Amino acid sequence: MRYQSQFIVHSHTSPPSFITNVQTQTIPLRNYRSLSTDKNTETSRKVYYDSKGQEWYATIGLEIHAQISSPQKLFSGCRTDWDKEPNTNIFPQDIGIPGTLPVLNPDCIKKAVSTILALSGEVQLKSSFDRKHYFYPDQPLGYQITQHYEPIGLGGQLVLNEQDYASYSGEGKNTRNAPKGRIVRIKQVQLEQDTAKSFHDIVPNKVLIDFNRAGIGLMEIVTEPDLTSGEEAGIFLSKIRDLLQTIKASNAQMEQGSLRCDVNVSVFSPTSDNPRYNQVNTAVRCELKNMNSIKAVVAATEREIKRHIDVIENGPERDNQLVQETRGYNVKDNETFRIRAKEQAQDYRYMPEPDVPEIVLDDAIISRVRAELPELPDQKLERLMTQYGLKLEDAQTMMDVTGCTEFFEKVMRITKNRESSMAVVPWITSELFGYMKFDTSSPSATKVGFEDLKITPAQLASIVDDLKSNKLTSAMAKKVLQKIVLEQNKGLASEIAQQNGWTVISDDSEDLRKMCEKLISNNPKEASKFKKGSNRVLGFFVGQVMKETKGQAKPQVVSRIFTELLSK
Amino acid sequence: MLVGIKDNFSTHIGPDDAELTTYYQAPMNATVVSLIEDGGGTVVGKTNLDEYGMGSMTTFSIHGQTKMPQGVGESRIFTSPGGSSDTGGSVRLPAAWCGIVGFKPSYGQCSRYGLLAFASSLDTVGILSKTVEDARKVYRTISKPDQLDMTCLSENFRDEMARLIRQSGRQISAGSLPLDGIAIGIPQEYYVHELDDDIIRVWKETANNLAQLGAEIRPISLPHTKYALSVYYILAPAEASSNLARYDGVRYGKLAQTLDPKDCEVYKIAAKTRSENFGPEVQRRIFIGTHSLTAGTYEGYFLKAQKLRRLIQKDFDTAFNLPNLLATENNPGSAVYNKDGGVDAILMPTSVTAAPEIPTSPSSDLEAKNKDPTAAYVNDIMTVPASLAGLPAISIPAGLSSSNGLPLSLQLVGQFGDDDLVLDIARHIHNIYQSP
Repeated sequence: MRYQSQFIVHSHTSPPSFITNVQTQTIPLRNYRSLSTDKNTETSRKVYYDSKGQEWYATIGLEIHAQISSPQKLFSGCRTDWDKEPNTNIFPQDIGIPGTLPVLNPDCIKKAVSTILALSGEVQLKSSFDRKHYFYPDQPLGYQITQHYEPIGLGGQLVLNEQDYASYSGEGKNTRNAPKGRIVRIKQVQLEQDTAKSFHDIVPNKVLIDFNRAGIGLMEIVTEPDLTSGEEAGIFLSKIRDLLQTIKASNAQMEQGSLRCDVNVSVFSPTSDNPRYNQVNTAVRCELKNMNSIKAVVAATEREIKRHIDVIENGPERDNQLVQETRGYNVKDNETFRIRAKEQAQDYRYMPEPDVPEIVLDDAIISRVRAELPELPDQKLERLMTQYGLKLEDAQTMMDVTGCTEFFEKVMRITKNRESSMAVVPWITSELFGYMKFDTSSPSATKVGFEDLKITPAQLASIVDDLKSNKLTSAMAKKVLQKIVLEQNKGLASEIAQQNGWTVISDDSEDLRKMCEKLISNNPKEASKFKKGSNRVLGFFVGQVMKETKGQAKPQVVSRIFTELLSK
Repeated sequence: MLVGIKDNFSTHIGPDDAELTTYYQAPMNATVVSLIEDGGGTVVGKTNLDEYGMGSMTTFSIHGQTKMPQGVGESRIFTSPGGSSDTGGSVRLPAAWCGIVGFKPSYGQCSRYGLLAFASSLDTVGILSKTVEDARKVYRTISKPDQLDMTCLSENFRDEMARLIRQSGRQISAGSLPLDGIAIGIPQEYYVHELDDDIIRVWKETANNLAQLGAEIRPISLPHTKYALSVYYILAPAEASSNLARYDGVRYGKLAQTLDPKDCEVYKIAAKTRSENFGPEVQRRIFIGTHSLTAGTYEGYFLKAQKLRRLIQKDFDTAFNLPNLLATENNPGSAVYNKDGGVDAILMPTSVTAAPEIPTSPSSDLEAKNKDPTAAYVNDIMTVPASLAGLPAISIPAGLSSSNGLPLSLQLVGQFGDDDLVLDIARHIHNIYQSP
């Protein structure tokens, strides 16, 4: 807040008066080759402005820690259940009992290989572990077993495409000139152990430690500094989260701590007078740590970018030079704060881990893991859109709900209306989603429990088909769905309709026509309104029929009969 | 068989002994302890050692120094027989000085699970015994694959090693003389000026005796031996400084108490705990190790030492007529061995002198230590090469000193995995001196 008056950052909510129409600006990359990969021939970056209106750009790299979804820890057979009482989920190795030795869990290697392949990286045929030394009570061995010298994965990329920017719901959505896409290069993927969890604020003057987490496998995924704004970091994080969840390599929930992200931020301005900040390589970099949601990463990164620009602009006068350091983020005040300066940075004294032999993989193993990879989110989105003619928004909505697209595709295989996915989609996204619960534990209020809904693809297909072939009215169809979902009726639509005596009155029914004629004669006032040109009154008549037939008539047919009768 | 277990193995029978683990009772038995018990052995007690196994003379034990059992030397050192561990010579040197058998199998033959780690890439379970046959009995019992130690050789690897040895066609006691067809190497680099005349005498004597038993004696060269001691004293402390990092007093052992709120930062509490509780030799080695792992010195010390370690191993591989399966596995195609001109085993001294004297007073010892803390390291000069190369090595009694009657010993080293041959030849050497 303090900095707001000193510089202005353009955002769609508060455009500064002196800049009228620039949100992000397309920069031909040949002018700034060092900024990004050669493959990004042309892309756009978010532009930030200091108080003098000078343009600034941000350079952002991420270090992501994803807990590996494996039933056992990385180096002990201990289970990884996360909901156990503190300090009950521990093997001797996890707390450094003398004489215990690490035994590598091969499942964690498989998950890492899946991840590297999903990120188009190179799985290393030979990789090894190292010890990273530092003393901290949550580090039971006095070192972390990690992969410093020879990580298991090198290179790779994750492409942010137009759809990803479009689906992003945070700040920055639908901004004009939003980037059309960006290739974010992956530097490396490495395996390492998680630490125990420290609690500083439960008992005064005491640090409580829960060793349940100690030794769980982590994948550290390091990106090149290819991201250009907090929002883009958020888009990248959502995307890698979805990817890790799809390949079942990690639960990847930031709120639960199974996905963590450190953000490296620096800024530069090609037109700056300050030689240090007119190019990206020499700019001072700060690392943001300990944010527990994607939203917080976005906000903290944006805040830090703004702080950098402000300090560079006003720093010397205020004796506030930008220094390389590690910073935290306070959500309440929307401020970042110093955790430790670079001078306090530790020497980790990396040493090859003598207790764990090197990991040797061969092409056959890698091919097998590749063959087992599920369809990745980008491929799936594209396929759903081309195969079923889905709209982007519908495909994304369904992909966001676990088990939903699988259900949709099964319905599509059973239904007689295969040519028209549009007959099926609303039944899922409007009707079935209405029966899902909100996950109150998640701040993003996602809906959960699609897979718990008691409906089979065949049942939904029967509803859609019977509706299409006029065996059901839409009112009846909704009631059928209710019987299935709420009362767990196992029947198909026709059976449920029969059980409840719901039949559609046929289009040429004499009774229906008589009912309409009777209504017109009983309501001469309304009838005359129609003749005077009011179409709205038609709704009144149709409603009356629907009421009398308890929804068994089809409104379109009733409407046609009325129009015919009233126009005479 | 009654067995004593050195106090750095985890057992259910009593606490592991180091100051920092005074109140610590291991929750499990070491794999080798379980194997001895399952094999019918009875663990009768635990034996003394230098704190965290750092030293060969129990000078740095919290229980005080162990003395020789022989009447000859009240003031000489002694370590007790049984299951032990050998990182740079801690089994072979005490055996040599006490005139008993001390066997260090190939690295990975016996599980290290439950052994307090000193230098993981060097720590080897070893055996002290009266006879070679006793050592073999214990070795056969404890040399098994173990799921709890990834560096312990797998069943497949052991099968492959056995196949390799069968393939070599070598057979002991097949000819008219027991050692017909066996070539023994005498490495010239071990003929150092610090060697006692007595030891040179029994070395020559034993070589002649082996020749009479049919063995062919060949001079060999292990040119990188001269670096072994320096390499060892860089690598072992480096690994030790890492392995001992877990003793911070948080989860077991004594935690230093501080009332000064200024010193409540976690690293200060760890530093205080460790300063108060580690002995002087342990602290010295942690300092050395920490230094050689520090950014800036790592490349010049640790990495160089690692490279030299590979050269030392290669020296041995070049001398033997059996390929080193471990080297072959790690770098296929790079196996160097001397199929026709190579030797089956190497004979060398275990120590440069007979048992050293215990300093007259602890303070004079401390003075000597402070003056030259590395003087004692010279004792390890004969034993560390086999440790660095992970080779099977055994110290065998070879008579008594003509000047003071103290036991003298020789060391026999074989190719990686050739443990049985080393024991076979050692039995013949032991016989020479048992039946004069």
